[in-house]
Amino acid sequence: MAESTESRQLLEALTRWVGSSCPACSESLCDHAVLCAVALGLKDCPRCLACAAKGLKRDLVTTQNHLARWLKGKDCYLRAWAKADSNRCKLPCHLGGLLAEAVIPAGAEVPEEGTNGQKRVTPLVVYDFGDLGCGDLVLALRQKLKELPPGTQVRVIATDPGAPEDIPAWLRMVGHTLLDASPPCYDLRKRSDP
Amino acid sequence: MPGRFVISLTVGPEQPDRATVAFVVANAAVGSERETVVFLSTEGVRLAVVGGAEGIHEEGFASLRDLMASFAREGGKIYVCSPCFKRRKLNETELIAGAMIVGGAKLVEFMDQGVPSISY
Repeated sequence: MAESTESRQLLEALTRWVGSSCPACSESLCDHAVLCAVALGLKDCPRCLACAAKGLKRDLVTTQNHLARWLKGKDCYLRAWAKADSNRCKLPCHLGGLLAEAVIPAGAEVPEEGTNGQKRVTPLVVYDFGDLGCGDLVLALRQKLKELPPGTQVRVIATDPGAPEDIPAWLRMVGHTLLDASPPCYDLRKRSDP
Repeated sequence: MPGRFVISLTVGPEQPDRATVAFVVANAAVGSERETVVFLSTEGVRLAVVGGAEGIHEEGFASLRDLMASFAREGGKIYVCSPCFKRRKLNETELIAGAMIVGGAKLVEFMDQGVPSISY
């Protein structure tokens, strides 16, 4: 995605979601929380970081560390983060130090060395299919999953009104596992055989 | 899959006789203890919103609204084609009882093991 497009989407997400409530725990979402949610692929249904990590079946510390390392490699996010810092987050915020405090705990996945010498982290696998529905949606999803190794955990975002019935039905038929469905977000694990 | 039955209905209020007979047959299926789905597509999706069947009452039959209400009450399901519904800009918050918006995968799953069907 072009960085200008990504920057615009970040701005739109901040305008839309800062001050709204996490749908899972009702905590008010500050600027930093919205940026984290967007980075995790939740631009259409942001949650606080704790609930987002829970939804991804990851522990909070690991999620924070992955996020921090990923955010540090994205200029548009860094600019938005800095702006949130300078705004001092008008809402109660416990994420402001995320980028400074990120540490790699023992046993955690070690980031790959990028070609330019920067640390690079495998991103969370998130696919946003927008309002694709019916056959278009399952074909697009099938194509994306074919590119991933068996067992990969994926978050799918699909806003089509048929998706809440269709995605679970398709997963049952083809043998992938539905981990969580909170429309428009669906977490799944690719089946073990390719 | 034993005991399943599908009725495909592709017309709506513009063809009241066909729409009515489709639900008469659907009620026969659900009354025969078959797990029954009416699949509404193209113009048929107009019947899935509240008021969509209003005023349709063919001679010799119950009103379409009553036929559809009986069908839902007996446990029949109405699958509503998602792209057909969206294309007509209908309101998904106004679905009638028993109706759910689905994509093709949901119907394919239901019919996957071989299910008798009839189209109107």
